[in-house]
Amino acid sequence: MNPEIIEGGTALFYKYIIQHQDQVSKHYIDGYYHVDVVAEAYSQGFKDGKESGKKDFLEEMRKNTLEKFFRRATQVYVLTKTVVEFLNRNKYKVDSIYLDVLAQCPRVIISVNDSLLIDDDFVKSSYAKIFEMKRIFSELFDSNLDMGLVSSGNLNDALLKADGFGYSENLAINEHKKTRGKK
Amino acid sequence: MSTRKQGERNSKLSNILFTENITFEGKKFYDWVITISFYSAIHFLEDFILPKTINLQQCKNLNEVKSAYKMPGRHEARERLVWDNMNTEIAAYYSWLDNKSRFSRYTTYKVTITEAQKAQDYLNKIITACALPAATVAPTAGDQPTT
Repeated sequence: MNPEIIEGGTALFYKYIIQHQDQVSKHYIDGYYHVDVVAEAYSQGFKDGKESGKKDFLEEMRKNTLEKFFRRATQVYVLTKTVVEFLNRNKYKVDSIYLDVLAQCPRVIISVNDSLLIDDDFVKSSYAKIFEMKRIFSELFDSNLDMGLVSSGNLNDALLKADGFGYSENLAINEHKKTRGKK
Repeated sequence: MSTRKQGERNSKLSNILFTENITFEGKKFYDWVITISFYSAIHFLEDFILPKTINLQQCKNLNEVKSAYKMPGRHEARERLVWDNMNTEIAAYYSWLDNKSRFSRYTTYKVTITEAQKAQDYLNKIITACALPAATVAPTAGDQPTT
């Protein structure tokens, strides 16, 4: 995949997670073991020869895993947008968001102008909000959300992609388009 | 070496790298100023907060904190420990140092003198807070973001 920034919105995010749902079964999600590991364990203990039962079990496992993935990924997106809206309300502009929703502990990086990250008021209010979101996530999923801020200057999009931040939105471009559309 | 002594040692090194004319190919080590400031902050804060009772468990070190919070990683457990026990200002400065240190690879390690200075300032504020009575730097209800 090219390290290009996707212009965003909820619809695009859903499109992204649907496109990547096949990767979910390869990961340990929300306290579940890899589907194949559970299936293997089940197969070994499966002595009565009911192949249909085995198939149902695997299908149920797959559905459960995907359902948890969608629920968790959606929450990561919602919490990220909550931070973005909080910052916007306080007149702070967010440039981009980068999400890794496939990791065992999902990760989010929010990029802002370099000058904001040396503004004490911004640092205090933004990190307080971010920690509030992390707390909500860990209460909901018994897992951790790694969310943080980075300077937009010199930001290496390709490296972020390579590190697993597969979904991103360039909010600065979107904001520019919205402003232009109003004229 | 005690945790606090390790913090003092790191703080001194961070300060030396920032103030003295130590360079590599003409460039100062501002990225390391931030990273070492972060590691210094870790030691000061752990020394200040621990031991602590968390979820009815007496925690003397970070592994016990991790277990008491039922968190998978030391990094997350430490951050939670800091936010649960320090006011927003100090906790935010800690998170800033953490992010600046961990994410500098995404900005190709380009760190300005202003950012290095900020790391020094935040570390000094953390060190100062860690010398005060715990009640004066504990989180308060007014610390939470309101809107």
